[in-house]
Amino acid sequence: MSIDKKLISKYIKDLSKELNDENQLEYHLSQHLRMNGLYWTAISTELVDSTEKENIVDWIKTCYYPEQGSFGPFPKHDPHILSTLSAIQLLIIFKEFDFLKEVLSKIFGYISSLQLANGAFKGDLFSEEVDTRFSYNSLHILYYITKIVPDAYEQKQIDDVVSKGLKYLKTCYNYDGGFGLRPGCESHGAQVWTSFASFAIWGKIDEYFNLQELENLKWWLLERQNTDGGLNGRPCKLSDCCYSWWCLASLKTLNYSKHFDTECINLLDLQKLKAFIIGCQDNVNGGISDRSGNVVDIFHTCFGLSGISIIEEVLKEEDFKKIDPRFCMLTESIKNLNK
Amino acid sequence: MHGVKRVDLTEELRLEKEKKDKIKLEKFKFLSTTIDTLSSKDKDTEELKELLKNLDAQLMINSDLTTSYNLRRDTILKLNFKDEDWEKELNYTTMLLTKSPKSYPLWQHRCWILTQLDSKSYYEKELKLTFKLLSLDKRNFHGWSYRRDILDVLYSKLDSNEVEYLYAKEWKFLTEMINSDISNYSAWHQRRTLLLYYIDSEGGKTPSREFTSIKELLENEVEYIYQAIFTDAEDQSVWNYMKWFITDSKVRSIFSDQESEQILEKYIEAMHEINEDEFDFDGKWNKWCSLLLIYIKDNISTDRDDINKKALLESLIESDPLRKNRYKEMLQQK
Repeated sequence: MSIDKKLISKYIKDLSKELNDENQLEYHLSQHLRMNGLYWTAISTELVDSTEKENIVDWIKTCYYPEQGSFGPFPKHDPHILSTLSAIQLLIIFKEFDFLKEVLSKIFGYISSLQLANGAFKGDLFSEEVDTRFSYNSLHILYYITKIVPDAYEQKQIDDVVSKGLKYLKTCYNYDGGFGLRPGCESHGAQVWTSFASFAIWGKIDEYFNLQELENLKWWLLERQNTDGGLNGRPCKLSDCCYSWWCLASLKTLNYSKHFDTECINLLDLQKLKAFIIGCQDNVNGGISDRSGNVVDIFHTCFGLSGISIIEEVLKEEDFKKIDPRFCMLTESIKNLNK
Repeated sequence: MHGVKRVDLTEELRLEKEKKDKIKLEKFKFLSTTIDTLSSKDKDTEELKELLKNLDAQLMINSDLTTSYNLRRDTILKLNFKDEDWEKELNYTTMLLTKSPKSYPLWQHRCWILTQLDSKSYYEKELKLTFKLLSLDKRNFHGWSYRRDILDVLYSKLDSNEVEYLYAKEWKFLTEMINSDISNYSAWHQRRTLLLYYIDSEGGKTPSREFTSIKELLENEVEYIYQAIFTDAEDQSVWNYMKWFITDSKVRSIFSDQESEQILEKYIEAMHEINEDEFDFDGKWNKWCSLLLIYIKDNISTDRDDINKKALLESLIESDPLRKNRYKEMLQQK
């Protein structure tokens, strides 16, 4: 049993058609996360080896705020760090490096203006909302700066923002091993990934966490697998395909610590997890849903496929391109940044 | 899309949905165009009100539009809201929250309203709202973290007696939440936060006259956990709580070493008992008892002969096959 890649391609094609058609309701209702949606679409397209990449660079430029280097999710929508990271990831995927260099050479001021004195990040300049997701977005973009435009800023400037950012994320670490939305909030699978992957991106896991803390995180993550094979995002919740990314990638990221030699994700029942994800594919319309029998969407399609890619890499089945657990980008895209 | 079942619509229902979607689409398009036009020019009060009305309707169709909330806040500030306008805004967002309890920008907008009002009576009312929303979905993490924020704000606004009263009520609320559903991990999480508050508080405050000291409160907690593991030994919420409780240095600082030892003894005995009962029933030890016993032997009392780590791990391979590789790895590390 495996994911039907052709059917995924068909789903992506149908969806793109719908989302490009002003006469469709979804065209209007999904505007607030269109940029993210395009990133999920691009990753899914790469993972099923589809060649039908729609070039959207011109469209991305219509969402650009050149004074800040930031992006909105849709033309005329306000800029936000969530859509800004997605836009930058898309520019990497589409190898639009000239424009990307221009963006990255401007964006540092925007990112540092989102950071608060305690190191936390806001999502935009319009509200005071603070979330570990926004820390991840900013810290992820800063990594691209150091790789793609290393001379644009002084290294010390970047290091200061990063170390303040990581110190804050450590305060979101909980007694049970997970991370919450903010300090004191309950551990949640997506917040675990955005927090912990930030340390991995900057090679700082062992600087901030001792073995016992990492063991607690490992324990918390391993307990996410339910008897149906799927992973949940919090204790005593139902399985959901997207945690096949958030929790599985976090577990894989633990291997960036010096303390773990063997693949941590092997400690789960990977075959059962894979079967769960495959069971979420709609065999008519082709996409992947949160649980078997539910309505599909591109978010779950992207993270279901990304999860499968990690599983297959470890099981050495490798029918899918490899994905980097820290970035949710193809491993080759991240490697090519150094060239 | 979370938790929405796939359905095959009959031709008739499909056409009906198409018709409804079309109406919604036209309405949304019209609202968006009106909002665009209005927001791009200088506005008098009437036009600002008109803009707000259009935003009302637009956010009803899609309550995740971050940009529209930005515009809404901007408009509200220009309109110099009076008390009754704020009340309306609160009622409007309550209605949206009931419809979309998981919308990030909506919760954010609600927070903003409260900071504008900055009055303790509003914050107190707000606690009631989270109570209502949490009884509809008892694990909604937006609701829980909002509730914590409100409590923090109230903490800074109320005098110490009022704070005590508020926290005592919170303790009761959490106890009732857990008593009605022992698997409510969110409530256990919050209970831990509150317990730490009491331990840290000056003058040995407790949530009830029933407890004359922190020590009595914690002794009650020892018993509460004990009852909970017998109530549902399969549930990981209480085991996680216990794991924290027996290792936390602040909790342990309230007890003497000998008392901590006795508490541990009580729990170990209970876990052996549950293990034996379950073994008699289906030939397997309880997963959580086994995990916790191993944890105790590894981290708290390494010299206990009555905890046989090897046997427990071998049993876990059987009782929790999803994670058998983990237990095999632990066996090798032994």
